[in-house]
Amino acid sequence: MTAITDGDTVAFRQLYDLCAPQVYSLALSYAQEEQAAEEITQDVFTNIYKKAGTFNGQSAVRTWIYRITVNTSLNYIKKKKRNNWLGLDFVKKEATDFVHPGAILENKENAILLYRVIETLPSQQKTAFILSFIEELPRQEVADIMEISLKAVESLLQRAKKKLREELRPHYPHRRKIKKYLSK
Amino acid sequence: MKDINSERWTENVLSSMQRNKKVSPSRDLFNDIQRRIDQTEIRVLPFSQSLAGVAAAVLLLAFNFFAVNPYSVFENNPRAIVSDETASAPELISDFKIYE
Repeated sequence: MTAITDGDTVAFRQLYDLCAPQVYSLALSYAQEEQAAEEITQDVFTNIYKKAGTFNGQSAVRTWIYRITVNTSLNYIKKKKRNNWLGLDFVKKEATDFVHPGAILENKENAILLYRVIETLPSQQKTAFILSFIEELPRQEVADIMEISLKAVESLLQRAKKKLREELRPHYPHRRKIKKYLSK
Repeated sequence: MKDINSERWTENVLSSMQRNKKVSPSRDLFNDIQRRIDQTEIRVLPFSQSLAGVAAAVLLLAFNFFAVNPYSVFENNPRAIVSDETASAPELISDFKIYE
């Protein structure tokens, strides 16, 4: 990080190569759109380059980068919602189901549903769920990223799962429709 | 039976993104980031250049002061300047005295 603060582009490239897939994957789970995820990744690495000097080493670099990604993604979503509300988003897109490019073929239809219901979660629960069950990070790291206790993470996950189960319940009889949609 | 199936299905949905394939952004993204950083980067000037800039500004202010100064003197004592000019170009002044 010291080298990056001094403007060492080789060190910055090395950090990018090491962390870009995780940053992009996390951004993708929030934005549910590949282009938006790339924009978030760009913002995250620009911030890392600018703020490398403020990294105090109290947490691991990876934790710090994940924290920046979570905040940038949440801000992006907030801004997008605000623009939609104000009618500033001129290129309006049809709301379509998000097909995660990393989803295994046999899980694709379930993954589509999962991303649809994740959208209903409050931001704290969403973050805890994405970091734990999609990024598959250890609970302690999730707690460090979110700057909360391990107990608080467990509580958020319990509430998130409960809410997701409730949201999924009405979809159960209609799952054939999704199968049909995917086979097109 | 339906409840058991429904529960199993729900759990499958919740764990559907586990063991997923790793995804990566497009190859050009790093170049885009680099370009953006270069655009926003603020150039830090060396001390000697900053000093030269300050000196130039002081010089410019001084020139402006000397340029504006005669007018302020004129405002305080208009006769002094007029008499001065009359002395240096009397024929020019006399030409303009058309009502004499």
